[in-house]
Amino acid sequence: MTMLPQTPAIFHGSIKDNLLIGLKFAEKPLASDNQLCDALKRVKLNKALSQDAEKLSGGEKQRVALARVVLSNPEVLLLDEPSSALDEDTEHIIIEELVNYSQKRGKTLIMATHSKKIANQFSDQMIEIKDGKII
Amino acid sequence: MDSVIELQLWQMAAAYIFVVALLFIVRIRGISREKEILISSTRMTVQLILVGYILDYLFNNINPLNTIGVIVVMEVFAIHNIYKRTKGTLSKPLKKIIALSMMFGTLSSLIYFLLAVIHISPWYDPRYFIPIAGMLIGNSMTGISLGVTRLVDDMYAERHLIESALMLGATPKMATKQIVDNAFDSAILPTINSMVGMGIIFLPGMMTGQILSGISPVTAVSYQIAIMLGILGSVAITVILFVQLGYKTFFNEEKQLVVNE
Repeated sequence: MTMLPQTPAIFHGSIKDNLLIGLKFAEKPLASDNQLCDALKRVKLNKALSQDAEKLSGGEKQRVALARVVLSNPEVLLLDEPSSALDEDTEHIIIEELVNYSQKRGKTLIMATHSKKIANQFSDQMIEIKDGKII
Repeated sequence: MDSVIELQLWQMAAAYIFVVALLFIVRIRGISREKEILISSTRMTVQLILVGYILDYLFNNINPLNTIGVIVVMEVFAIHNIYKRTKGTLSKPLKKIIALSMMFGTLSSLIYFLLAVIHISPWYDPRYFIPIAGMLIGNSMTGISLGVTRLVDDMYAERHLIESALMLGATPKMATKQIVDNAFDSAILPTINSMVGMGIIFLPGMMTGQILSGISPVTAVSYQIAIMLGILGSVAITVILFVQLGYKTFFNEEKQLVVNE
């Protein structure tokens, strides 16, 4: 299981370093540059792999972090408002891409979101929490 | 070999001219450090006179219990000093690791150094045991203090990166590797740097003392080389033990980071 917090940390180094670090930590085989570029396309980030990840904007960092967890291909992916730093259109495209990707691979995606629209559209099962209680 | 010049009381008193000069300079420049200069000079004088008499007693009353007692006191003071020097609060488990690393690191290198390198006899001869223990414990204390400060500071400053690494499947060891390496580096670096400058930039205190007391410079140098290697070993064992065990105290049994905001 891998979790992505609302404000993910970006490690020192390039976008490539940041994408590969998840695989290194999980002791999985490293991905090729083509696979890394595919992961970036999936989160709609058009940046060179060599670019300094710490100089990206908040939304771009969030997308690098998303691509990083997708690459590590966990059985269960827990996302805490993964698109909070994105505009509505990009948010929709990325969530749709993530959901399709997980469904194709038979993985479980658990996501915390404030957006009822997103939750209604993409979830198989929805749990609503209000004032700390499940309603 | 020339006989040693015994310092008379008036000669020692003459050396205090430097303190007077320093007091004069800080007064003229308006730097309010007179109190600290007076306290530190007085403390140094009183402490050294006391230790002179204590060592004199110990050297004339050779007894294993006396020697062990002095080492225990040195260790306790050194460990207490490390706790005091570190800013912020140290957790109980981290304090235990500091004490354990200091005890094991310094005592193992001390015993090896005295019994295997120098071959002292009897094994508790205070003339060798106490000054060499002082050098090993003192240098290890400085090293571990730097390591503790760096480790604690970085664990707090980089907690978000550590947590992110854990979320990506890293073990606590992987997640803190860079922090642990940096702590080890900052702890061992002063010892390495002092070896580089030794003999060119400065003459080490022990060697200078031996030369002044009439021992041949070659003998003094051979002792100095041996003691520097002993110090390096002691600092290295102490610090590596500390960082290897210390980082674990920042995680619970579920391998979660327990550093608070």
